[in-house]
Amino acid sequence: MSLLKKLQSDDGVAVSPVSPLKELGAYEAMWLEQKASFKTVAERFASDPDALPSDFVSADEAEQRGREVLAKFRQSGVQKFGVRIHRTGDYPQKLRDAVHPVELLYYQGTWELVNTRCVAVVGTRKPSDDGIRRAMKLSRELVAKGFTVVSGLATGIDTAAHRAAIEAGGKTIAVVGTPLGECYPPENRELQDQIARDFLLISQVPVLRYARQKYFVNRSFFPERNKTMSALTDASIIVEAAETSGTLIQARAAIHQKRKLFILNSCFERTDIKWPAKFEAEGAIRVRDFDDIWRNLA
Amino acid sequence: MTSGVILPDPRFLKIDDSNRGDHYYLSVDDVCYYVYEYTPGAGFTGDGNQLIVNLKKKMDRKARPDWKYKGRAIRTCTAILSANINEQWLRVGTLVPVPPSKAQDDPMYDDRIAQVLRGIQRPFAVDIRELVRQSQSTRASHESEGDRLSPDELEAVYSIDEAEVAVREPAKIAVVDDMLTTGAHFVAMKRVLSRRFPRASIVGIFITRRVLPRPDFPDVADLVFE
Repeated sequence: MSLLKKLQSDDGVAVSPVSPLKELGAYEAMWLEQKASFKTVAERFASDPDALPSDFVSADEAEQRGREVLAKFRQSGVQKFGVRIHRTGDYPQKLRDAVHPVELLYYQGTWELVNTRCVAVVGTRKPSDDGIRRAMKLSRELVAKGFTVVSGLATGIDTAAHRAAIEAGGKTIAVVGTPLGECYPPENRELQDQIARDFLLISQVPVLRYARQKYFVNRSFFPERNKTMSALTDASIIVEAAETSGTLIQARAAIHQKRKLFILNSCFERTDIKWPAKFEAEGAIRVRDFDDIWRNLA
Repeated sequence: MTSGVILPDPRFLKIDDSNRGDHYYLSVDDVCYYVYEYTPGAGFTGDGNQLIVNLKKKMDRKARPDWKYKGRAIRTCTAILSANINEQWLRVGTLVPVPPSKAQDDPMYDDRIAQVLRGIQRPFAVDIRELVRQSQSTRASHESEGDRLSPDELEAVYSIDEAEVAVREPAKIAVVDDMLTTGAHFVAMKRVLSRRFPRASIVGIFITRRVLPRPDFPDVADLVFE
C-alpha cells in the first residue's frame, strides 16, 4: 500500500478505518479472479503486509460485491453474520500459523467460543460403528474436561463429534467447507443451523465464487477448511481415516502449525494404512488411553 | 511497498450496511467507528469482552485486588484510540465523552471515558470537553434487562454545559463511549450537540459494539441488557 493511498484513505477522525462490507466485498472480488486460491490470495497479502483486501480491488467493485454477498445471504436465510478481518479487532492471531493464512472469514453465532480451549475431533466420512462410538465418547470426555469440540460438520466422525458435544451440554464449533447459508451434506442442515444459532459456525469459503462454480470444483474448499480448523485449535484428534482421507490434510497442518496431533490407537492397529506411523514419526501422539490426551493438553 | 507510515493495529472498524442492523437507533447518516465486538453472556473471553468487563468495573470495587485491571483497561483504550485518531482531525476536533450514567454527586459516578481520553498525548493540546452533562442518574444500560432507554428519554436528561463551550465553539465532534448497543446514547448526544452546534460534524467512536448472535434476538424489547 503506497503512502499516498494510506493518506488518502484517512477519513476524517479515523486513520484508515475499515468497512467490513467493503473488505468482504473486496475479498470476494479477489476470489472471482480466475486463478484465485487460498495460496495465491495469501501470497498477495504476504507481498504487502499492511494490506487489506480493499487495497487490491477498486472501491466500486468492493462495494458492489459486498452488496451481492448481502443479497446472497438474505436469499439463503443467513439473518445474522459477522466477519473477522486481519488487522482489526477480534481477528484470531492463531490463524497466522497456517501456511496460507486466511485474511477474512465469515461466522455465525458466538464468536467468543474461539477463545475457549478448543480441540478438533475429525475423521472419515465413512466410519465404522466403533469409530462413531469412539468419536462420541471422546467428544463427551472433552466436554467434561471443559474443552470446546471443533469439527467440520461432514458426515461420519464430524457429525458424531458435534452431536455428542451438544448432547453432553458442551460447546462446539463447526468449521465448514461451504459458505454460510449453504450446507453439505444437506441432511446436516438442522445441525448446522443449531450450531450457527447456539454455538459458532465458521466459513472461509468465498460466497460468490462458490455460487459460480460446479460442485466438483467447490470440493476443494473442504480440505482447505481443515487447515483453518487446525490453526484455530490447541490440538486435533484423528479418530479414524483411510490412507487418502482429507482428514490427513489436517494432520499435516497440525504438525506444521506446531499444534498437538493425536491419533487413536485403533488407527495404528489397522494393517491397510500407513499414515499413523508416518505422523507418529513426525511428532503425533498415539492415544492408547484418553489419559494420553489429557496429559499432553495440560 | 514500505511507506514508513505505521498503521494502527487493531484498526477502527466502521458501522456499515453489514452491521448497522445490530444497533436499532442508528441510521445511515450516523458515522460510527468501533474496535472490538462484545457478545453479552459470552464471558471473559476475547480481547473485546475482557477489555469491556475490566473497563466497566464499578466504583464500589475500588478496594478489591481486581481494581488494577480497570486502570490497565483505561490505558489500553487510550493507546488504541490514540493510534487510530487522525492527527489532522485532532488538531481541530473535539473529543466528547458520553456522560456517565450516574450523576456527578453519585458515589458510583465513573468518568472512565473521560479518563481514557485525557490519556491521549499529542505535541499540541488535545481538545477534550465534557460538553454534555446528565442532569440525573439513569441506570446504566448494562445493569438490567428491563432498562431500555430511548434517545428521547436520554435527550430529556442531557444538557449542554455552557461553561465548557466558552473556550471555543467546536467544529468537529467525536462522541466517545465504551460500547455501542442500541445507539440510543449516541443518537441523543448527536441531537443535543447538533442543536447547539448546527455546523459541527458529529461522529461516534466506540471501544466495542455489542452483537447479539442469535437471529431471533433483535426485538427491541431484548436489546439492552449487556
